Amino acid sequence: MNKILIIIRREYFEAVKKKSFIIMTILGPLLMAILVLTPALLVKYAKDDTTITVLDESHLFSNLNSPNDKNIHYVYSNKSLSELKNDLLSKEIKALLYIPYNSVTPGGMLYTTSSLGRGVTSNVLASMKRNLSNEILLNEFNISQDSLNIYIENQTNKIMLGQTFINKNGEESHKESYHKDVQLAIGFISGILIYIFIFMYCSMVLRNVFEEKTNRIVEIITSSVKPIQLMIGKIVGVAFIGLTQLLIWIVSLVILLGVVQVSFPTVFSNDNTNIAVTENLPDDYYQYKPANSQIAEIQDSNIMDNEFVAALANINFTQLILMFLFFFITGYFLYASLYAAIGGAVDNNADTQQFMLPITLPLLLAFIVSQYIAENPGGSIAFWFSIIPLTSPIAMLIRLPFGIEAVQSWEIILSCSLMLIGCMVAVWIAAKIYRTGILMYGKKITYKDLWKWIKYNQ
Amino acid sequence: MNIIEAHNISKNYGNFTALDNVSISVKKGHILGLLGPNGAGKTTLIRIMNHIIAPDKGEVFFSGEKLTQKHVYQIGYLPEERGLYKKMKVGEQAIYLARLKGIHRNEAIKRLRFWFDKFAITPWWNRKVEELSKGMQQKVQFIVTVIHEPAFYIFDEPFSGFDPINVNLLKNEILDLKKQGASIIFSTHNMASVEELCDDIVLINKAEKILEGNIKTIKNQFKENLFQVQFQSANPVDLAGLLTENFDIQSIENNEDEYTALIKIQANTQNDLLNALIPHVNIKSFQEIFPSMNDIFISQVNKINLKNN
Repeated sequence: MNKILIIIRREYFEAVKKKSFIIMTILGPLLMAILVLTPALLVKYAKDDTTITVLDESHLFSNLNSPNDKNIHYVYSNKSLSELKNDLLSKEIKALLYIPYNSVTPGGMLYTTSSLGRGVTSNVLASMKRNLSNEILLNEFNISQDSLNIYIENQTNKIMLGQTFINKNGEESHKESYHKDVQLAIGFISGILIYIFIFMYCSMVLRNVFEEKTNRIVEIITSSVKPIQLMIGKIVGVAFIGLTQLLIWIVSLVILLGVVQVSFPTVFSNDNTNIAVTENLPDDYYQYKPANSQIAEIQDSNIMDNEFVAALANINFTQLILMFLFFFITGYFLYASLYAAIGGAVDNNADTQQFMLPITLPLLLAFIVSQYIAENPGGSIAFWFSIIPLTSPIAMLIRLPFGIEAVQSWEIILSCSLMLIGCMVAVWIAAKIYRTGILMYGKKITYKDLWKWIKYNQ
Repeated sequence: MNIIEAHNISKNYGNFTALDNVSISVKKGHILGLLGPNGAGKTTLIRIMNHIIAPDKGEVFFSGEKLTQKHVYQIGYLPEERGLYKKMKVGEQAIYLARLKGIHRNEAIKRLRFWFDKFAITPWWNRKVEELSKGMQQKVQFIVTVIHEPAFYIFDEPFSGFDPINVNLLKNEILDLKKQGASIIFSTHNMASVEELCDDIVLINKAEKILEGNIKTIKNQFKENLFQVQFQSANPVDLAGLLTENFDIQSIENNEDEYTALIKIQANTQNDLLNALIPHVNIKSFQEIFPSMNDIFISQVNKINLKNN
């Protein structure tokens, strides 16, 4: 036991002291943020601004500029059509939107000398439609589009679909479908966390085992400790490295959120923005609402908040956290020992790939079908994926937040038991492959060899 | 009294037989040379005696007890395939390896300081292993092999990768360990070092032991009554004319008036040879030529291989 501790200590401190660890710990979240934000920023800034000169003889489209479409600017002109066409030819203007007076149907013509880029025509049409509907609303109903939207939204938000679950005893329990989003989010986040953790740190285990073998230090070490002690020591050591990194990220995230909240208090308080919008509503907004609508609306927002809290409260967090930790640890151990076995068996990096694929596949598969599992957490795909040890760490965590209707207690117990057995089998197999593999040099290893090593009794 | 005894060890890897019913023992305070061509099973046998792998059949006894994991702290093992963590600092790495041998950190530092001074590598304590020359890395490896002061050592090809100066240094260290009472298994292809260091030898070929015993006994056993005579004579010498047909002249060379001859004789007739020569030439030296371990090794291995084919 003492030997394993010494190995864990070395594994941990050597890695934590490395520059690459410090850089990765700092850059990891940054890279992640860049990865997420870049596409969004690209979409936002990649479009060139287009200025369209408008000649509106119908006087129906006086406000084509919209805050939603910042890439297209409309400039109104009083020049004649022929003058503007000349401007277009002399490149003084880039595009001309001519809207003639027409008593039957309003419409326009877009004059350009070259292509304006994707989506400009449809954006212009959308702007015209919006402009026209605003005109109609204001002139004929005396209400602005924005006010109408807010009103419609507030009214339609009250629509809610209830769901009643009847269990075998005929007892009914209510849960609003709104819960599903919260459950989904929690399930996915825990599933993805486990997926990332297993991949990142199991490949670290593989690298370290492989390094030890190619460095030829492994025989010196195995003359003092048993191979399985060395293997377990490495796996646990890397687990601590991972937990350290995770802890640093969580703590810095909490600090970052704290700083943001202190600096920009409004970002996090939805209530304030709602009230601000309500206060800025024009007087005519309330004409279209029932007399007691204001009270109803206030209640409405309270219900929403309460519902969110209720959805959270509905999830058994003690169970979820315990299960998360259980699958987090056992999942890591299961995969890490298999990765360690590969690292110990192969002699060069190129050989690693062929053995990586079959043990990476189940995890990947679980990740891919997670959508189906979330859609039907009580279904047979969900059941089987959450029972089989290789996929259960992800599948079970996606099912768990949906509660007792989706996962029966016996399923959880079965899944956990199989996971423990799977874990022990994996460590046992890995230890057999590892102890033979690490002392085997200069031989190309096949699956047949691995099978033979498992059968050797030592 | 034997420090370690391996009885009837067999080990198979699938269809491949690595060791077939091999028994060896090392006497306390002796150096045993474990010889054999590549792939003979030496490393497998060494790993079994180190408790790294287990035999399919047979048992190993250490100081009379059945070998278990606790005995590995009384064994110092320098494997043939040896290396160090390249990115780790030398001193820290040595401490780590010493602690795995069950030595407390402070004690490990104390002993390491002594050895690092002795081998003049103290300035490298805080450097990374990859900055060291191969010879220096080998010194570090030797130090961590002896750091726990075991009673029994296994050196597998200890001189490979050493320059001649370091080979001598290491040879003297090994002889020092012997002087202090340690028992040693010494596995090598280098026959000259076997004759220089070993008391006993075991020769393994194709998973089987084919020869064992005290090195002097074996040499006597394989001696061919071959004598080397060096003499001086002013006149040309017709050696064949001087000797009877009981003496078989293998070779004769001369450098001006100095002659060197190899003569094979009947057992215990060396005095007759001298008597025959003394009246005619001036004897400068006269000695029996024993077969070298290299010759014995090659002839024995070839004999077995021929028999099998």
